[in-house]
Amino acid sequence: MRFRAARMALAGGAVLALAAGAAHAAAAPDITGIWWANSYSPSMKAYLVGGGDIPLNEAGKKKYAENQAGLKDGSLMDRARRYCTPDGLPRSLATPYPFQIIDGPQGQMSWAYEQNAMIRGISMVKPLDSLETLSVLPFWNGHSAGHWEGDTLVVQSAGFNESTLTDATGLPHSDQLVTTEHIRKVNGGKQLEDVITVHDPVYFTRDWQARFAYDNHDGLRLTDYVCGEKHRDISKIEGINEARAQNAARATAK
Amino acid sequence: MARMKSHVLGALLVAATAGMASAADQAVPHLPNGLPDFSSGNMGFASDGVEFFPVPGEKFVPVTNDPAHPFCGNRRMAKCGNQILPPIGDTKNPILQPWAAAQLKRTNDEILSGKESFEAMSRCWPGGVPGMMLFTAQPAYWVQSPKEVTILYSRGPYQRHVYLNVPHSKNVEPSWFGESVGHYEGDELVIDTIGLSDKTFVDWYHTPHTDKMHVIERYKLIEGGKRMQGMITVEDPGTFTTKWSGLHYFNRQILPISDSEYVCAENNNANYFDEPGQVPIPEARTPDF
Repeated sequence: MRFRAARMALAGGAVLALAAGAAHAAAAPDITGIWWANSYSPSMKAYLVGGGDIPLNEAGKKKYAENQAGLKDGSLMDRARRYCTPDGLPRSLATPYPFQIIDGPQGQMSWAYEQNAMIRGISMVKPLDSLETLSVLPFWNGHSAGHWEGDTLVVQSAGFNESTLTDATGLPHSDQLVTTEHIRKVNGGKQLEDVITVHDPVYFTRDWQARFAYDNHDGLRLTDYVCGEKHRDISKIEGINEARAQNAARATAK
Repeated sequence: MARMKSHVLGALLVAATAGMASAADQAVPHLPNGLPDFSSGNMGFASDGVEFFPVPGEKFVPVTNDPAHPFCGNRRMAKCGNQILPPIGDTKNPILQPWAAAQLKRTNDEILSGKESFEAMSRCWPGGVPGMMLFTAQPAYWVQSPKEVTILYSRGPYQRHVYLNVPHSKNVEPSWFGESVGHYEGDELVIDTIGLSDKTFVDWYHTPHTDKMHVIERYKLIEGGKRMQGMITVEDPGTFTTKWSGLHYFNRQILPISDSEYVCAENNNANYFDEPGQVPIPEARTPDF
Protein backbone atom coordinates (compact mmCIF):
# COMPACT_ATOMS: atom_id res chain seq x y z
CA MET A 1 0.00 0.00 0.00
CA ARG A 2 2.81 2.29 0.96
CA PHE A 3 4.34 2.28 -2.49
CA ARG A 4 1.16 1.83 -4.47
CA ALA A 5 0.70 5.35 -5.73
CA ALA A 6 4.35 5.79 -6.57
CA ARG A 7 4.45 2.36 -8.23
CA MET A 8 1.60 3.41 -10.50
CA ALA A 9 3.43 6.62 -11.37
CA LEU A 10 6.55 4.64 -12.20
CA ALA A 11 4.74 1.91 -14.15
CA GLY A 12 3.01 4.35 -16.43
CA GLY A 13 6.26 6.13 -17.11
CA ALA A 14 8.06 2.87 -17.76
CA VAL A 15 5.64 1.79 -20.48
CA LEU A 16 5.94 5.19 -22.10
CA ALA A 17 9.71 5.06 -21.80
CA LEU A 18 10.04 1.80 -23.69
CA ALA A 19 7.66 2.82 -26.45
CA ALA A 20 8.98 6.31 -26.93
CA GLY A 21 12.60 5.29 -26.65
CA ALA A 22 12.30 2.81 -29.50
CA ALA A 23 10.48 5.26 -31.73
CA HIS A 24 12.74 8.27 -31.21
CA ALA A 25 16.22 6.85 -30.62
CA ALA A 26 17.36 7.60 -34.15
CA ALA A 27 16.32 11.28 -34.00
CA ALA A 28 17.64 12.24 -30.55
CA PRO A 29 18.50 15.94 -30.39
CA ASP A 30 21.83 17.03 -28.98
CA ILE A 31 21.58 18.63 -25.54
CA THR A 32 25.18 17.94 -24.64
CA GLY A 33 27.46 20.73 -23.56
CA ILE A 34 28.02 23.09 -20.68
CA TRP A 35 24.97 24.74 -19.13
CA TRP A 36 24.77 27.36 -16.42
CA ALA A 37 21.87 29.13 -14.72
CA ASN A 38 22.06 32.90 -14.52
CA SER A 39 19.99 33.15 -11.34
CA TYR A 40 19.53 31.31 -8.07
CA SER A 41 16.99 31.08 -5.29
CA PRO A 42 17.23 28.98 -2.13
CA SER A 43 13.46 28.44 -2.32
CA MET A 44 11.72 26.10 -4.75
CA LYS A 45 8.82 28.57 -4.65
CA ALA A 46 10.80 30.88 -6.94
CA TYR A 47 10.80 28.19 -9.63
CA LEU A 48 7.17 27.06 -9.16
CA VAL A 49 5.30 26.79 -12.42
CA GLY A 50 2.11 28.80 -12.12
CA GLY A 51 3.35 30.67 -9.04
CA GLY A 52 1.61 30.55 -5.68
CA ASP A 53 2.66 28.34 -2.82
CA ILE A 54 4.16 24.89 -2.75
CA PRO A 55 1.14 22.59 -2.13
CA LEU A 56 2.17 21.08 1.19
CA ASN A 57 -0.31 18.87 3.02
CA GLU A 58 -0.62 18.91 6.81
CA ALA A 59 2.20 16.41 7.29
CA GLY A 60 4.32 18.41 4.89
CA LYS A 61 3.65 21.70 6.67
CA LYS A 62 4.58 20.11 9.99
CA LYS A 63 7.76 18.58 8.60
CA TYR A 64 8.70 21.83 6.82
CA ALA A 65 8.29 23.80 10.05
CA GLU A 66 10.47 21.25 11.87
CA ASN A 67 13.14 21.47 9.17
CA GLN A 68 13.12 25.26 9.17
CA ALA A 69 13.49 25.36 12.94
CA GLY A 70 16.23 22.73 12.77
CA LEU A 71 18.21 24.61 10.15
CA LYS A 72 17.88 27.78 12.21
CA ASP A 73 19.05 26.32 15.52
CA GLY A 74 21.57 23.97 13.98
CA SER A 75 19.87 20.74 15.04
CA LEU A 76 19.29 19.86 11.37
CA MET A 77 22.43 19.75 9.29
CA ASP A 78 22.26 20.73 5.64
CA ARG A 79 24.73 18.06 4.55
CA ALA A 80 24.75 19.25 0.95
CA ARG A 81 26.29 22.54 2.04
CA ARG A 82 28.27 21.31 5.06
CA TYR A 83 29.85 18.15 3.63
CA CYS A 84 29.05 18.68 -0.06
CA THR A 85 26.98 15.54 -0.41
CA PRO A 86 24.68 15.53 -3.46
CA ASP A 87 21.76 17.96 -3.31
CA GLY A 88 19.18 15.47 -4.54
CA LEU A 89 16.24 16.41 -6.76
CA PRO A 90 14.88 18.89 -7.49
CA ARG A 91 17.42 20.91 -5.47
CA SER A 92 20.36 19.93 -7.71
CA LEU A 93 18.61 21.64 -10.61
CA ALA A 94 18.93 25.00 -8.83
CA THR A 95 22.73 24.84 -8.78
CA PRO A 96 24.39 28.21 -9.38
CA TYR A 97 27.44 26.45 -10.80
CA PRO A 98 27.84 25.14 -14.36
CA PHE A 99 27.25 21.54 -15.28
CA GLN A 100 27.94 19.37 -18.28
CA ILE A 101 25.66 16.97 -20.13
CA ILE A 102 27.50 14.13 -21.83
CA ASP A 103 26.05 11.57 -24.20
CA GLY A 104 27.65 8.48 -22.75
CA PRO A 105 28.66 5.92 -21.66
CA GLN A 106 26.89 3.67 -24.18
CA GLY A 107 23.21 3.49 -23.37
CA GLN A 108 23.52 6.19 -20.72
CA MET A 109 23.65 9.91 -20.42
CA SER A 110 25.73 11.59 -17.75
CA TRP A 111 25.29 14.88 -15.96
CA ALA A 112 28.55 16.14 -14.43
CA TYR A 113 27.99 19.03 -12.03
CA GLU A 114 30.80 21.29 -10.94
CA GLN A 115 29.08 21.85 -7.58
CA ASN A 116 29.96 19.05 -5.19
CA ALA A 117 31.35 17.23 -8.27
CA MET A 118 27.95 15.50 -8.43
CA ILE A 119 27.38 12.91 -11.11
CA ARG A 120 23.97 11.81 -12.33
CA GLY A 121 23.84 8.78 -14.57
CA ILE A 122 20.68 8.30 -16.61
CA SER A 123 19.88 4.97 -18.21
CA MET A 124 18.54 5.39 -21.71
CA VAL A 125 17.94 1.71 -22.37
CA LYS A 126 15.86 0.42 -19.51
CA PRO A 127 12.97 1.77 -17.47
CA LEU A 128 13.23 2.34 -13.75
CA ASP A 129 12.84 -0.59 -11.43
CA SER A 130 9.93 -0.54 -9.00
CA LEU A 131 10.09 1.72 -6.00
CA GLU A 132 10.30 -1.34 -3.75
CA THR A 133 13.44 -2.47 -5.59
CA LEU A 134 15.00 0.99 -5.69
CA SER A 135 14.31 1.58 -2.02
CA VAL A 136 16.75 -1.22 -1.15
CA LEU A 137 19.62 1.00 -2.26
CA PRO A 138 18.38 4.58 -2.39
CA PHE A 139 20.64 7.15 -3.97
CA TRP A 140 21.18 10.78 -3.00
CA ASN A 141 20.18 11.88 -6.50
CA GLY A 142 17.84 8.96 -7.01
CA HIS A 143 17.95 6.40 -9.78
CA SER A 144 17.13 7.79 -13.22
CA ALA A 145 15.90 6.49 -16.55
CA GLY A 146 15.25 8.56 -19.63
CA HIS A 147 13.83 8.47 -23.12
CA TRP A 148 13.22 10.92 -25.92
CA GLU A 149 9.81 12.27 -26.87
CA GLY A 150 10.47 14.32 -29.95
CA ASP A 151 12.86 17.08 -28.95
CA THR A 152 12.36 16.50 -25.22
CA LEU A 153 14.34 14.23 -22.94
CA VAL A 154 12.00 12.79 -20.33
CA VAL A 155 13.80 11.58 -17.22
CA GLN A 156 12.08 9.75 -14.42
CA SER A 157 13.82 9.40 -11.06
CA ALA A 158 12.94 7.55 -7.88
CA GLY A 159 14.67 5.68 -5.10
CA PHE A 160 15.86 8.77 -3.25
CA ASN A 161 17.35 8.57 0.21
CA GLU A 162 15.90 10.86 2.85
CA SER A 163 19.16 12.66 3.54
CA THR A 164 18.43 15.52 1.16
CA LEU A 165 16.14 18.53 1.32
CA THR A 166 13.90 19.60 -1.54
CA ASP A 167 15.32 23.09 -1.24
CA ALA A 168 17.69 25.13 0.88
CA THR A 169 14.87 26.45 3.08
CA GLY A 170 14.15 22.94 4.39
CA LEU A 171 11.31 21.84 2.12
CA PRO A 172 10.99 18.12 2.84
CA HIS A 173 10.52 15.01 0.74
CA SER A 174 9.95 11.37 1.61
CA ASP A 175 11.38 8.18 0.20
CA GLN A 176 8.32 7.92 -2.00
CA LEU A 177 9.42 10.89 -4.07
CA VAL A 178 9.19 10.32 -7.82
CA THR A 179 10.25 13.06 -10.21
CA THR A 180 9.74 13.45 -13.93
CA GLU A 181 11.81 15.97 -15.86
CA HIS A 182 11.10 17.31 -19.31
CA ILE A 183 14.35 18.67 -20.67
CA ARG A 184 14.71 20.46 -23.99
CA LYS A 185 16.47 23.27 -25.74
CA VAL A 186 14.54 26.50 -25.96
CA ASN A 187 15.14 30.07 -27.13
CA GLY A 188 16.63 29.01 -30.43
CA GLY A 189 18.87 26.45 -28.75
CA LYS A 190 20.66 29.02 -26.60
CA GLN A 191 19.05 27.76 -23.41
CA LEU A 192 18.13 24.46 -21.85
CA GLU A 193 14.86 24.15 -19.98
CA ASP A 194 14.19 21.54 -17.31
CA VAL A 195 10.63 21.32 -16.01
CA ILE A 196 10.45 18.87 -13.14
CA THR A 197 7.24 17.35 -11.82
CA VAL A 198 7.45 16.44 -8.15
CA HIS A 199 5.26 13.58 -6.95
CA ASP A 200 5.35 12.88 -3.21
CA PRO A 201 1.95 12.16 -1.69
CA VAL A 202 3.47 11.92 1.80
CA TYR A 203 4.06 15.68 1.97
CA PHE A 204 2.20 17.32 -0.89
CA THR A 205 -1.50 17.58 -1.73
CA ARG A 206 -0.81 17.16 -5.42
CA ASP A 207 1.99 16.97 -7.96
CA TRP A 208 3.69 20.28 -8.65
CA GLN A 209 6.20 21.56 -11.18
CA ALA A 210 9.29 23.73 -11.06
CA ARG A 211 11.06 25.20 -14.07
CA PHE A 212 14.78 25.78 -14.44
CA ALA A 213 16.56 27.41 -17.36
CA TYR A 214 20.23 27.38 -18.23
CA ASP A 215 22.36 29.33 -20.68
CA ASN A 216 24.78 27.53 -22.95
CA HIS A 217 28.44 28.02 -22.08
CA ASP A 218 30.19 25.64 -24.43
CA GLY A 219 33.91 26.34 -24.22
CA LEU A 220 33.77 26.84 -20.44
CA ARG A 221 35.72 24.26 -18.49
CA LEU A 222 34.40 22.83 -15.24
CA THR A 223 36.78 23.25 -12.32
CA ASP A 224 37.54 21.24 -9.22
CA TYR A 225 35.11 21.61 -6.34
CA VAL A 226 36.32 20.48 -2.94
CA CYS A 227 34.15 21.19 0.08
CA GLY A 228 35.24 24.19 2.08
CA GLU A 229 37.73 25.45 -0.49
CA LYS A 230 37.54 28.52 -2.68
CA HIS A 231 35.46 27.98 -5.82
CA ARG A 232 34.84 29.94 -8.97
CA ASP A 233 33.31 33.39 -8.55
CA ILE A 234 29.51 33.12 -8.82
CA SER A 235 28.76 36.53 -7.35
CA LYS A 236 27.34 37.67 -10.71
CA ILE A 237 24.61 35.00 -10.52
CA GLU A 238 21.42 36.88 -9.69
CA GLY A 239 20.25 36.00 -6.19
CA ILE A 240 23.53 34.57 -4.92
CA ASN A 241 24.60 37.59 -2.94
CA GLU A 242 21.20 37.72 -1.23
CA ALA A 243 21.35 34.03 -0.42
CA ARG A 244 24.83 34.41 1.04
CA ALA A 245 23.71 37.43 3.07
CA GLN A 246 20.82 35.38 4.48
CA ASN A 247 23.23 32.61 5.46
CA ALA A 248 25.50 35.11 7.16
CA ALA A 249 22.59 36.66 9.05
CA ARG A 250 21.42 33.22 10.17
CA ALA A 251 24.92 32.37 11.38
CA THR A 252 25.15 35.62 13.32
CA ALA A 253 21.75 35.05 14.92
CA LYS A 254 22.76 31.63 16.35
CA MET B 1 66.49 -33.24 -40.48
CA ALA B 2 64.57 -33.97 -37.30
CA ARG B 3 66.29 -30.99 -35.60
CA MET B 4 65.37 -28.73 -38.53
CA LYS B 5 61.80 -29.91 -38.38
CA SER B 6 61.75 -29.18 -34.67
CA HIS B 7 63.13 -25.66 -35.20
CA VAL B 8 60.59 -24.96 -37.92
CA LEU B 9 57.77 -26.27 -35.80
CA GLY B 10 59.01 -24.26 -32.83
CA ALA B 11 59.17 -21.09 -34.90
CA LEU B 12 55.70 -21.74 -36.24
CA LEU B 13 54.42 -22.25 -32.68
CA VAL B 14 55.97 -18.98 -31.48
CA ALA B 15 54.58 -17.13 -34.45
CA ALA B 16 51.15 -18.66 -33.92
CA THR B 17 51.18 -17.83 -30.21
CA ALA B 18 52.28 -14.26 -30.83
CA GLY B 19 49.56 -13.96 -33.39
CA MET B 20 46.99 -15.25 -30.89
CA ALA B 21 48.07 -12.81 -28.15
CA SER B 22 47.95 -9.95 -30.58
CA ALA B 23 44.56 -11.09 -31.84
CA ALA B 24 43.20 -11.09 -28.28
CA ASP B 25 44.26 -7.49 -27.81
CA GLN B 26 42.98 -6.70 -31.26
CA ALA B 27 39.62 -7.95 -30.04
CA VAL B 28 39.17 -5.03 -27.66
CA PRO B 29 36.03 -3.06 -28.36
CA HIS B 30 36.23 -0.13 -30.75
CA LEU B 31 33.97 2.82 -31.45
CA PRO B 32 32.48 3.16 -34.95
CA ASN B 33 35.23 5.69 -35.69
CA GLY B 34 37.89 3.09 -34.92
CA LEU B 35 39.01 4.55 -31.59
CA PRO B 36 39.23 2.18 -28.62
CA ASP B 37 35.98 2.04 -26.70
CA PHE B 38 36.62 2.38 -23.00
CA SER B 39 33.01 2.27 -21.91
CA SER B 40 31.08 -0.13 -24.13
CA GLY B 41 28.68 -2.55 -22.51
CA ASN B 42 28.34 -0.45 -19.37
CA MET B 43 32.03 -0.89 -18.67
CA GLY B 44 33.60 0.90 -15.77
CA PHE B 45 37.07 0.22 -14.42
CA ALA B 46 38.19 -0.32 -10.86
CA SER B 47 41.78 -0.23 -9.68
CA ASP B 48 43.45 -3.60 -9.28
CA GLY B 49 45.59 -2.94 -6.24
CA VAL B 50 47.01 0.27 -4.88
CA GLU B 51 50.56 0.40 -6.20
CA PHE B 52 52.50 1.32 -9.31
CA PHE B 53 54.63 -1.51 -10.65
CA PRO B 54 57.99 -1.27 -12.38
CA VAL B 55 57.95 -1.16 -16.16
CA PRO B 56 59.92 -4.15 -17.45
CA GLY B 57 63.31 -3.08 -18.73
CA GLU B 58 63.24 0.36 -17.12
CA LYS B 59 66.15 1.25 -14.84
CA PHE B 60 64.22 3.50 -12.48
CA VAL B 61 61.18 2.18 -10.68
CA PRO B 62 58.31 3.78 -8.74
CA VAL B 63 58.46 4.03 -4.97
CA THR B 64 57.41 0.67 -3.54
CA ASN B 65 57.28 -0.63 -0.02
CA ASP B 66 60.25 -0.63 2.27
CA PRO B 67 61.49 -4.25 2.19
CA ALA B 68 61.55 -4.26 6.00
CA HIS B 69 57.87 -3.37 6.09
CA PRO B 70 55.74 -5.34 3.64
CA PHE B 71 52.51 -3.62 2.74
CA CYS B 72 49.38 -5.64 3.32
CA GLY B 73 46.16 -4.04 2.23
CA ASN B 74 42.70 -5.52 2.44
CA ARG B 75 43.32 -8.05 -0.29
CA ARG B 76 46.63 -9.36 0.97
CA MET B 77 45.88 -9.55 4.67
CA ALA B 78 45.44 -13.31 4.64
CA LYS B 79 49.12 -13.54 3.69
CA CYS B 80 50.09 -11.27 6.58
CA GLY B 81 48.55 -13.16 9.46
CA ASN B 82 45.14 -11.62 8.74
CA GLN B 83 46.24 -8.14 9.57
CA ILE B 84 46.40 -4.99 7.52
CA LEU B 85 49.87 -3.46 7.47
CA PRO B 86 50.20 0.17 6.46
CA PRO B 87 52.11 1.36 3.41
CA ILE B 88 55.71 2.24 4.36
CA GLY B 89 57.58 3.63 1.35
CA ASP B 90 61.16 2.78 0.43
CA THR B 91 63.12 5.95 1.18
CA LYS B 92 66.23 4.46 -0.46
CA ASN B 93 64.70 4.60 -3.93
CA PRO B 94 67.24 6.61 -5.97
CA ILE B 95 64.53 8.51 -7.81
CA LEU B 96 63.86 10.57 -4.67
CA GLN B 97 65.50 13.93 -4.12
CA PRO B 98 66.90 14.18 -0.57
CA TRP B 99 64.03 16.33 0.72
CA ALA B 100 61.45 13.95 -0.69
CA ALA B 101 63.19 10.97 0.90
CA ALA B 102 63.35 12.86 4.20
CA GLN B 103 59.65 13.71 4.06
CA LEU B 104 58.81 10.12 3.22
CA LYS B 105 60.85 8.98 6.22
CA ARG B 106 59.03 11.39 8.51
CA THR B 107 55.70 10.05 7.28
CA ASN B 108 56.89 6.47 7.70
CA ASP B 109 58.07 7.17 11.26
CA GLU B 110 54.71 8.67 12.17
CA ILE B 111 52.83 5.68 10.79
CA LEU B 112 55.16 3.21 12.50
CA SER B 113 54.60 5.06 15.77
CA GLY B 114 50.88 4.42 15.46
CA LYS B 115 49.53 7.42 13.61
CA GLU B 116 46.80 6.60 11.10
CA SER B 117 48.07 6.48 7.52
CA PHE B 118 46.33 9.21 5.50
CA GLU B 119 44.74 7.93 2.33
CA ALA B 120 43.15 10.77 0.41
CA MET B 121 40.08 9.07 -0.93
CA SER B 122 39.41 7.29 2.34
CA ARG B 123 39.08 10.76 3.86
CA CYS B 124 37.07 12.10 0.92
CA TRP B 125 39.87 14.20 -0.55
CA PRO B 126 40.72 14.00 -4.26
CA GLY B 127 43.59 11.65 -5.04
CA GLY B 128 45.11 13.98 -7.64
CA VAL B 129 47.10 12.72 -10.62
CA PRO B 130 48.46 10.05 -10.81
CA GLY B 131 47.26 9.14 -7.30
CA MET B 132 43.65 8.96 -8.46
CA MET B 133 44.47 5.86 -10.52
CA LEU B 134 45.05 3.90 -7.34
CA PHE B 135 41.78 4.64 -5.60
CA THR B 136 39.03 3.37 -7.82
CA ALA B 137 37.70 0.56 -5.66
CA GLN B 138 34.38 1.48 -7.16
CA PRO B 139 34.14 1.86 -10.93
CA ALA B 140 35.31 4.89 -12.84
CA TYR B 141 33.94 5.56 -16.29
CA TRP B 142 35.99 6.82 -19.23
CA VAL B 143 33.29 8.64 -21.19
CA GLN B 144 34.46 9.58 -24.67
CA SER B 145 33.17 12.60 -26.61
CA PRO B 146 34.69 14.13 -29.74
CA LYS B 147 36.48 16.91 -27.84
CA GLU B 148 36.86 15.42 -24.39
CA VAL B 149 37.31 12.29 -22.37
CA THR B 150 35.51 12.74 -19.07
CA ILE B 151 36.59 10.35 -16.34
CA LEU B 152 33.74 10.05 -13.86
CA TYR B 153 34.61 8.43 -10.54
CA SER B 154 31.45 7.06 -8.97
CA ARG B 155 33.15 6.99 -5.57
CA GLY B 156 33.57 10.46 -4.20
CA PRO B 157 32.33 11.49 -6.55
CA TYR B 158 35.15 13.06 -8.61
CA GLN B 159 35.59 14.14 -12.19
CA ARG B 160 38.56 14.56 -14.52
CA HIS B 161 38.18 16.42 -17.76
CA VAL B 162 40.70 15.57 -20.50
CA TYR B 163 40.51 18.00 -23.41
CA LEU B 164 41.44 16.33 -26.67
CA ASN B 165 43.85 17.57 -29.32
CA VAL B 166 44.52 20.96 -27.74
CA PRO B 167 47.67 22.34 -26.13
CA HIS B 168 48.01 23.24 -22.49
CA SER B 169 46.95 26.71 -21.37
CA LYS B 170 49.68 29.26 -20.93
CA ASN B 171 49.33 29.82 -17.19
CA VAL B 172 47.77 26.97 -15.29
CA GLU B 173 46.76 27.58 -11.70
CA PRO B 174 47.54 24.50 -9.60
CA SER B 175 44.49 22.45 -8.74
CA TRP B 176 43.70 19.02 -7.38
CA PHE B 177 43.46 17.38 -10.81
CA GLY B 178 45.55 19.87 -12.78
CA GLU B 179 44.93 20.56 -16.43
CA SER B 180 44.74 17.49 -18.64
CA VAL B 181 44.96 17.41 -22.41
CA GLY B 182 44.97 14.25 -24.43
CA HIS B 183 45.01 12.46 -27.73
CA TYR B 184 44.82 8.95 -29.11
CA GLU B 185 47.80 7.05 -30.45
CA GLY B 186 46.33 3.99 -32.10
CA ASP B 187 44.55 2.12 -29.35
CA GLU B 188 46.11 4.17 -26.55
CA LEU B 189 44.61 7.20 -24.87
CA VAL B 190 47.48 9.50 -23.89
CA ILE B 191 46.82 12.09 -21.18
CA ASP B 192 49.23 14.90 -20.37
CA THR B 193 48.69 16.72 -17.07
CA ILE B 194 50.31 19.75 -15.51
CA GLY B 195 49.27 22.26 -12.87
CA LEU B 196 48.89 19.73 -10.09
CA SER B 197 48.56 21.09 -6.58
CA ASP B 198 51.23 19.84 -4.19
CA LYS B 199 48.49 18.95 -1.69
CA THR B 200 48.27 15.46 -3.17
CA PHE B 201 50.58 12.48 -3.04
CA VAL B 202 51.84 10.51 -6.00
CA ASP B 203 50.95 7.17 -4.46
CA TRP B 204 49.78 5.31 -1.35
CA TYR B 205 53.28 5.60 0.12
CA HIS B 206 52.72 9.35 0.42
CA THR B 207 55.45 10.24 -2.06
CA PRO B 208 55.27 14.04 -2.34
CA HIS B 209 55.63 16.22 -5.40
CA THR B 210 55.84 19.88 -6.35
CA ASP B 211 53.29 21.81 -8.38
CA LYS B 212 55.70 21.54 -11.34
CA MET B 213 55.10 17.81 -11.69
CA HIS B 214 54.28 16.66 -15.22
CA VAL B 215 52.47 13.36 -15.66
CA ILE B 216 51.86 11.43 -18.86
CA GLU B 217 49.36 8.60 -18.62
CA ARG B 218 48.86 6.00 -21.35
CA TYR B 219 45.77 3.84 -21.15
CA LYS B 220 44.97 0.85 -23.28
CA LEU B 221 42.55 -2.04 -23.10
CA ILE B 222 44.12 -5.47 -22.80
CA GLU B 223 42.96 -9.06 -22.53
CA GLY B 224 40.14 -8.50 -24.96
CA GLY B 225 38.91 -5.48 -23.01
CA LYS B 226 38.58 -7.28 -19.67
CA ARG B 227 41.37 -5.20 -18.18
CA MET B 228 42.95 -1.84 -18.78
CA GLN B 229 46.61 -1.01 -18.44
CA GLY B 230 47.72 2.41 -17.36
CA MET B 231 51.32 3.49 -17.66
CA ILE B 232 52.50 6.72 -16.05
CA THR B 233 55.64 8.68 -16.76
CA VAL B 234 56.44 11.29 -14.16
CA GLU B 235 58.80 14.25 -14.39
CA ASP B 236 59.34 16.59 -11.45
CA PRO B 237 62.97 17.68 -11.08
CA GLY B 238 62.08 19.35 -7.80
CA THR B 239 61.13 16.00 -6.31
CA PHE B 240 62.72 13.29 -8.44
CA THR B 241 66.26 12.83 -9.65
CA THR B 242 65.04 11.43 -12.94
CA LYS B 243 61.99 10.78 -15.04
CA TRP B 244 60.41 7.48 -14.03
CA SER B 245 57.57 5.26 -15.16
CA GLY B 246 55.17 2.85 -13.53
CA LEU B 247 52.40 0.48 -14.50
CA HIS B 248 48.97 -0.02 -13.01
CA TYR B 249 46.03 -2.20 -13.94
CA PHE B 250 42.29 -1.91 -13.77
CA ASN B 251 39.63 -4.57 -13.81
CA ARG B 252 36.52 -4.14 -15.86
CA GLN B 253 33.31 -3.80 -13.87
CA ILE B 254 30.07 -4.22 -15.74
CA LEU B 255 27.83 -1.75 -13.94
CA PRO B 256 25.92 1.06 -15.61
CA ILE B 257 26.87 4.48 -14.36
CA SER B 258 23.20 5.00 -13.56
CA ASP B 259 23.51 2.23 -10.95
CA SER B 260 26.75 3.49 -9.46
CA GLU B 261 26.74 6.09 -6.68
CA TYR B 262 29.15 6.02 -3.73
CA VAL B 263 29.15 9.23 -1.76
CA CYS B 264 32.27 9.37 0.38
CA ALA B 265 30.86 11.80 2.93
CA GLU B 266 27.78 9.67 3.57
CA ASN B 267 27.06 8.71 7.16
CA ASN B 268 29.54 11.28 8.40
CA ASN B 269 29.58 10.27 11.99
CA ALA B 270 31.18 12.81 14.27
CA ASN B 271 32.71 10.12 16.44
CA TYR B 272 34.49 8.61 13.46
CA PHE B 273 35.54 11.69 11.61
CA ASP B 274 36.75 13.54 14.69
CA GLU B 275 38.93 10.68 15.84
CA PRO B 276 42.28 12.00 17.10
CA GLY B 277 44.94 11.82 14.43
CA GLN B 278 42.45 11.46 11.58
CA VAL B 279 42.56 14.07 8.87
CA PRO B 280 39.08 15.61 8.82
CA ILE B 281 36.97 15.08 5.71
CA PRO B 282 36.40 18.19 3.56
CA GLU B 283 33.90 20.46 5.24
CA ALA B 284 32.43 23.88 4.55
CA ARG B 285 32.00 25.60 7.91
CA THR B 286 30.30 28.44 6.05
CA PRO B 287 27.77 27.40 3.37
CA ASP B 288 28.98 28.23 -0.11
CA PHE B 289 25.53 29.65 -0.97
